[in-house]
Amino acid sequence: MSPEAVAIVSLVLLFLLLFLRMPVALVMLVVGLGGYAYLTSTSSALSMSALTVYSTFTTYSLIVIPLFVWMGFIAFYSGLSGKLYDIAYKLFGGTPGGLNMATIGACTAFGAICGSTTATAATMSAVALPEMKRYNYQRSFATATVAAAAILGVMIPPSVIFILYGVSTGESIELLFLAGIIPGFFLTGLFMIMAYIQARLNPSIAPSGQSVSLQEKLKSMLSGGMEVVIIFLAVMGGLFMGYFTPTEAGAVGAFATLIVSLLRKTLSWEGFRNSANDAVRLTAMILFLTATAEVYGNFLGRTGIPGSIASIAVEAPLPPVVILIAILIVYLVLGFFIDALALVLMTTPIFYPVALALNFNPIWFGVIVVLALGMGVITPPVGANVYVVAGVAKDIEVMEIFNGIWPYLLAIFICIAILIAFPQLALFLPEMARV
Amino acid sequence: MKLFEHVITRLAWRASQVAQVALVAVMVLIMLNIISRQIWRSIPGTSETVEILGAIIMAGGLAYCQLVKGHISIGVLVQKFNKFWQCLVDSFTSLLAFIATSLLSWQVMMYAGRMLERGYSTGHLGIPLAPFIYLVGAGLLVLALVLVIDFLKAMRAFKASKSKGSESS
Repeated sequence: MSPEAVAIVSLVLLFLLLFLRMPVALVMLVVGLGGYAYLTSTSSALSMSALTVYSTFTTYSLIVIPLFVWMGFIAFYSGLSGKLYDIAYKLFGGTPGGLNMATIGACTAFGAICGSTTATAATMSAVALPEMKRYNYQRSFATATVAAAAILGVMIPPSVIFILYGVSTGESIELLFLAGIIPGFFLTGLFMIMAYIQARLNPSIAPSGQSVSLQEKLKSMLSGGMEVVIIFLAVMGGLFMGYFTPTEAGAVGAFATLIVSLLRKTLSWEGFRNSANDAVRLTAMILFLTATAEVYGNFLGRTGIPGSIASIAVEAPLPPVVILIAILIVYLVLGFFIDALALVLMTTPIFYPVALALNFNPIWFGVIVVLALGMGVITPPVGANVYVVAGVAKDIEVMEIFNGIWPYLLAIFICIAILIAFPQLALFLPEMARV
Repeated sequence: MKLFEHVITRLAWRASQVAQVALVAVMVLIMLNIISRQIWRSIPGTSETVEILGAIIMAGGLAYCQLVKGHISIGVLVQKFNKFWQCLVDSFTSLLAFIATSLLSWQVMMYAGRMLERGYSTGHLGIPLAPFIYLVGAGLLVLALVLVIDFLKAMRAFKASKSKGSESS
C-alpha cells in the first residue's frame, strides 16, 4: 500500500474507533502507532511513541495548561463567577433579554480568568440558570445562551485552544492571545444583539428585570469587578510587556486568583483541594490527548498526506477564500461529532500547511479555527457545552437546548465572515505588539 | 477481582494526590523564580524542575482521569445499540486500548532504562532523568490496569446481558 493509501485507511479506522466510544486520545495512539509501525517497523513506532509522549509531558510551554486550568477552577470554587454575574446583571438586567446579556457579559469576564469553554459552561450554568429560572425565562432560550456564551471562554485570553494551536504550530501564544481579544469582544456584542432581538420579538421568553441606577452600577463594578480586572491585568499585562513567559503567566494567574480568594475568605480548604483535583484530571485529559495527537501527527507526516493536501489546495483553480470556506465546512462537520480540543490537535497538522501554502496569516487562521471549533461545541449531536449545561440544569432535554442555539450559531457565522473580510480585526493587536 | 479493583482504584487516587502536590509545587516554584529574578537573580534550574514536575503531574493524573471517565469519547452511536452490543463494543475497545497503553508503558520503561545506563541528567542541577521517566511509565501502567478493570466490567455486563437474552428467549 502506498503511504497515501495508508493515511486514508488510517482515517477510516480513526473514525470507526471514535464512533465505537473509545477515548479519543487512545484512538489516536492506536492508529498512530499502528500506522507508523506499518510504514517503518514496530520497534521504531514504539520508540517514537514513547519519546513523543514523554517529551510532550515535559514540554515547558505546555505546563501553562494545568496552571490556567487551575486558575479557572480556583475562581469557580471561590465563587468569583457569581460575583461577575451579579455585576453583569446590574449592568444589563433592565433591558429585554437582560439576564441573557448578563450571562454573555459574565462569560466574557470569566473568559478572562478561565481558558476552557466547558469549564465556563459549567460555571456559568450553575450561576446563571437558577436566576433565569427565577425570572421565568424560557428554558431553551436561557440554556442555549449559557452554552453559546461559554465559547467566549476560549476567545478571550487565556485560552487552552489557542495554547494547543500555538504549541502544535510553533506560533507565538502571546500573539494568538492578543489576536483573540477584539474578535472575542465582537462576538460578545453579536451574542448580545441576538439575545436582544429574540427578547424584543418575543417578550414572553425573557421578561425584563429591575433597572438599576448608574450609581449602583458603578458601585458594583468597583466592589466586585476589580479583582478580575486586577488578575487579568497582572497576567496579561506581565505577559505582553515581556515580564514573564506564558507558563509564568499561568502561575501568576493561579497564584493571584488564589490570593484574592484567600483575602476575600471565599475559598475553603475543600474548595482548594477540589480545584487542584479537577485541574489535575482536566490536565491529564488535555496533555494525554496532545501527546497522542503528536504520535498520530508524526505518522501522518510520514505518509506525506499533509503536504499533498497543501499542494492540491494551492494548485486547485479556486480562490483561497473558497478553500478556506471548504476547510471551515470540514471543521463544522467534524465539530458535530468530535470535541474541540481533540479536533484542533487532529486537524492542525493537516490544515496548517494548507494555510501557509495559501499565504494566510497563521495567527489570523488560528482565530478563525478557534471560532470554527466554537461552532462544534454547540451543535448536535456532540456539542460538549450543551451537554455540560444540560448536566447542570438537569430538568431540560438536550434537544430543547439545541433548538435555542441557532441564533447564536448565526452570530458565529457573521463573526467569521467579518473576520474573513477584515482580517485586521484579529491582527491589529498582534501587529501593535510586534512594533 | 474486587481486591484488584480496590487496589488499582486506591493507587490511581493516591497518584492523583501526588500530582496535585506537584501542581502546587509548579506554581510556588515559578512564583519564587519571578520574585527572585526581580530582586536578585533567577533560581537556577527552574525550567528543568518545572518540566520534571510536569512529568509527575501527568504520571499521577492519567489513570485517575480514566477512572472517572475524564477522557473524551464519542458515545453518540454506541448509545443507540442495545446493551449486548454496547458491552461487546466496550470490551473490544478497552482491550485494544489496554494493549496500546501497555506497549507504550513498556517502551517508556525501556527508554528510562537507556537513560539510566547512559546516566542522563538535567543540564543545570544534574537531576537524573531516569526515575521520572520510570514514573511516567508507571503512570501509563496504572492507566493500562484501569483499562483492564473497564474491560472486565464490560465483559461482566456482556455476560449478564447474554444470559438475560437467553432467559427471555
